[in-house]
Amino acid sequence: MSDLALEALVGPGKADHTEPPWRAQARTLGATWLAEHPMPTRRDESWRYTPVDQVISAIADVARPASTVDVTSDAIDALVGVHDGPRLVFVNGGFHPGSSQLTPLDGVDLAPLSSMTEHPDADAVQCTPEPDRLNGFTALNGLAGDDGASVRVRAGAAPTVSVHLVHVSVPEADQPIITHPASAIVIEAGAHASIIESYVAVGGAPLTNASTVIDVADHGQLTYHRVQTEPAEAVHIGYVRIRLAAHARAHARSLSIGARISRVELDVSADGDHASIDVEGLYVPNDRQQHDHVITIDHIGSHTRSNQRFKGVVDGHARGAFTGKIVVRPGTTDTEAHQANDSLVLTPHAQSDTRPWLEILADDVRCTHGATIGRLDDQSLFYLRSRGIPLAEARRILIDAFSSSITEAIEPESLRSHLSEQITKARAQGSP
Amino acid sequence: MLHIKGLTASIEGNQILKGVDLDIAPGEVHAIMGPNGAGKSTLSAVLTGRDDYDVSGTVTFKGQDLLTLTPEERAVAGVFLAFQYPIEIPGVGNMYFLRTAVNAVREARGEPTIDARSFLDAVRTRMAELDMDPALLSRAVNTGFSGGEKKRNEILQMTMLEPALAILDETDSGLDIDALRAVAAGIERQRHPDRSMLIITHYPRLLEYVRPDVVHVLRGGRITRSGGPELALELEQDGYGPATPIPANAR
Amino acid sequence: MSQSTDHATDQEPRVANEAVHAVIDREYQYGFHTDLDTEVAPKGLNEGIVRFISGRKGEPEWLLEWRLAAYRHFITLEAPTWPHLDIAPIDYQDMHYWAAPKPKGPAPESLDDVDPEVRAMFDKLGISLAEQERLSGVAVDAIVDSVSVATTFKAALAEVGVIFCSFSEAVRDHPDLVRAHLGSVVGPRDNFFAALNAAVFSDGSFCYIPKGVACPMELSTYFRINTADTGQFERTLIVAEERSTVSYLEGCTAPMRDENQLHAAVVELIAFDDAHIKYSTVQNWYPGDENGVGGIYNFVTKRGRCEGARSKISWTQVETGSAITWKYPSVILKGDDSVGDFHSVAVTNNHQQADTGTKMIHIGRNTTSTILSKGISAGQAQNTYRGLVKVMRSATGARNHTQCDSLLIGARCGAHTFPYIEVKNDTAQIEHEASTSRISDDQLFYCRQRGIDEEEATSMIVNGFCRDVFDQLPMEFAVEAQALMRVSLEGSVG
Repeated sequence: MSDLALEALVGPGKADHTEPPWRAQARTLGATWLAEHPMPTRRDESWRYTPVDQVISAIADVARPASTVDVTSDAIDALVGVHDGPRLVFVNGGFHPGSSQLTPLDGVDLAPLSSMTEHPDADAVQCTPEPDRLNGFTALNGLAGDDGASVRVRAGAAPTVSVHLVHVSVPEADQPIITHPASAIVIEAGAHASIIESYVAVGGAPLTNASTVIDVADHGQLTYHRVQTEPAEAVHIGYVRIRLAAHARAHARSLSIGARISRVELDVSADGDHASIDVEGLYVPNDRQQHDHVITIDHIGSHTRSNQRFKGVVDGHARGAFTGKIVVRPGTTDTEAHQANDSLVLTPHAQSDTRPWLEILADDVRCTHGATIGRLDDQSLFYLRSRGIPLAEARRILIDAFSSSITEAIEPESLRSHLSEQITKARAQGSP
Repeated sequence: MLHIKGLTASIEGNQILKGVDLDIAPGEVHAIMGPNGAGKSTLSAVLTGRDDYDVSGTVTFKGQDLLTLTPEERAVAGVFLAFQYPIEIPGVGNMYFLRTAVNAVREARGEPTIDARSFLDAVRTRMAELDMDPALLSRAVNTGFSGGEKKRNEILQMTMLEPALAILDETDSGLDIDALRAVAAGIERQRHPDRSMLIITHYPRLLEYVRPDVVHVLRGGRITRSGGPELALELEQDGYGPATPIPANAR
Repeated sequence: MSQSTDHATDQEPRVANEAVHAVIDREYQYGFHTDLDTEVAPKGLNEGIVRFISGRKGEPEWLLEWRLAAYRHFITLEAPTWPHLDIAPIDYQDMHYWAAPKPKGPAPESLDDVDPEVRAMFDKLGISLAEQERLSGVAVDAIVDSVSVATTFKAALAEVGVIFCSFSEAVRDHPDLVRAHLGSVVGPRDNFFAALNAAVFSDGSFCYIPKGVACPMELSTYFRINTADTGQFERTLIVAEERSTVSYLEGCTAPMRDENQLHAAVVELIAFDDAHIKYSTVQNWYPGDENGVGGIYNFVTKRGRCEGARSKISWTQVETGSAITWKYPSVILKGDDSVGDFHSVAVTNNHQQADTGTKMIHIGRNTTSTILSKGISAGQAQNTYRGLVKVMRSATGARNHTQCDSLLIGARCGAHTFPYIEVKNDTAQIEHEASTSRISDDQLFYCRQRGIDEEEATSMIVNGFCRDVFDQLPMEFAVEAQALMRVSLEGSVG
């Protein structure tokens, strides 16, 4: 990628000698990677179902946010819901104290990355994945150095409320903007935490290139909700890296509701023995939206467990895709991994793609996966209609029932009802 | 027939059996009762040769050192286990499995194998005695069988294999009255002066139909009490009693 | 066999290789080499060789041009790579592309006229033509290297109008039929190996079933690679007209060699309205020794087109040989209400690598596909299933059910499943299930407690695992599959 093109994407060199080492390193890694590798194309297996060529041409039209923008707390509340607990808000890639709520929470160190220069944990901040896991977009993210959140939950802490990270794009006059939100999350040994990360915008057609890196230390427990409710014209590329140490447990959910092109990649490794992860997701693309989820779960330790459950409701002329890869390394014992992907295809022009993949190199495993693609069950529809419920209503009921298995167990309740509302709104434009 | 002395067994560092002594003479039917977690299933696993356990002590069966034999060698020697949870083996015909097992044991003993026709006739007779649906013969081993059908299948196998020692692990669990009666009758028909049985059970129900000669209580990894058949009734009324061991084989 | 109950070390497979059924660890019984007077073309691939092959076979001009066009396209292509296969690069110039045993006298009209050395070779294979002909009534088109040696039962089939002969003969005797359908399912531009095959294909089978005819016997062909460094490039074409049925069996063996041998075949099937083609393969190429030296490279393009309404194409295969297997028997479901089936057992051991699977392309209305794939990996083998179920926008009411199960024997092998499911029609119903595990300890213990030793128990459980696929094989073939997998005798009793 040419220097000129790069500059358009990440802004003029912000690097200076006052930058903390972790920030400089992320930039260097990103720059090196971009100099040595091309951006992904459709021919890369991992990007097969994302119109990455369209994303790259969208990149040609974006600009970096020029000035700071203001946004009211109420506006943020309306976009992401109100949940008990502290909230960090980033607007156009910069920290926005006005709409944030920095109520101190016992055992939790919460601060914008920009403030982590002298912090004792500064050298442990990791906001980009390991070099061998970079791709063009995460490399760009590292190079850009936008502000984001640093969350550290101290050993043994168990806060009872969620930490909310909000990334907002606010459009500027002429050109759509591009932001590279980054978050670094650490759950220390034996700590429990719930984190919500929301990606929203106040209208417009922003391009979001997000990266989140999460480390869960031994016996740590994490619940992580990733919510994308960007406007219909947005383009969203997201990457989440989760590393689990021995006996660590994580429950991650990804909700993909907005954006005309959305690709969320979850890159999980169960590094330590007895680590376990549940990954769930829901995507509800409509009109001409194209939503893609690419999940990889790498079983490196022994006695590890994973479970993937993704559901898609594909409407209009939209495309929903899911790739779920389970990798089991040689020399491991007692691995159990399961995966299920079910999608509803509601119109003749809707499209659904799924790749439930298994790469098994050890024999002490029990791995299953299942995938179904189909439309609403005629018998169930008939049953409801025979009870007097009109067709449109009956369809809505069945579709809600289908997707609620992913949403019904979401805590906190405030998040569950916020998501319900967002999904209903998104689907209201859908086919009757 | 069977002499167990000082048998201990541990798994993953936990000691389950802490010194079991037990003697069974030919033709005798012994029952082992005890609360959950006492080590009943461990005992049957160790006697049949599951290799998950660290074992010490001695077990002599018909003069042979049983603990040094592989599971199939123990079967050839005449040990049979009716599993508590008989496993399904998809794609392997029930009839084929049975005949392969019977012939494997016969060959190992230097006995002539049975031809398919005679075998089929014998099996059909036994199945009728057990009130088993003949269609189960052509199904895959235990696959899709109900609880009652699985337990009957275990007894059918015992009938065809004619073991010297039959260990019945919670054979009555999950059975309704009719199934229990059929299974118990099948067991009773197998009583023989050259055959011993070790019935492991949690409830005394089966023992009302198959009267044991000796009843033992296994508790905390040891046999704490032994007595005649009336002991089973006593346990039903009074519970399992203290955990301190009493000299073995008190009759 | 080992009777030890000692705890296995981490390095030992849970079940020693010796404890696995016959095909995995037996001495390769077909390892021998017949010394026929073989005429061999010089090594290398160029337009001259293509012309030589066509001339040697006395082909018409149109076919030579077809070959040359394919060759000219081939040289523009790069050999494919697959991330999961560890292949030394193949030198396509370091091979003979033509080898034929010189006939002793005129072409044989019956078995009695066949070259005695060739007859002896088939006797060693245990499939003597005489036995075949007299007992089971199966017609055999035996191919030795690149030329058909004997075709039996030609007369009987001719009575009902079934044409079953070598490809070369078909070009000579039924050129219009061949020309109409050759390359219509797998064109020369389809992929690298299809282009290569189209340029240098040696011989193969041609089968034509006229309207309304149910082919009265199973059709079978045996292949054999005899000469060192000769790739086998056979080409098969089967055309089933309306309301016809045919069951075709393919089985392969090869002698031991140290150099890898290339096998790049193309099989095309076309089924018209209400026709049914059943194609079964028991593949038994030399797999390479325990250290992975030698063995056949097997790259095959097999594709069927359900051209007519209510047509059906079934692929059934048992793959137990070859060092490297790359094949995806596919069905294009063009006709309304057409049906495609794929049933497969793939066994890999030692250092074998398999990347196999199927493609079901749903185009017509109310089409159905069923995929049943059973993979068994042992030793240090890698077994990969790669499947595509594609439902085009036009495929109203498409139905697919896929079941992929993998069994791992030992801790050093790998089993991989890479399905692609791409649906563009909302009335489609797709179900896919897969599982990967090893033989359960509980199942093994149950068998052993009944006196069945570990080796026998493993064999029994493995066969049970494959049972659903074996049930799809035609009777005569099932016997050979059983010999390879030691399957149950139960089917014949009661």
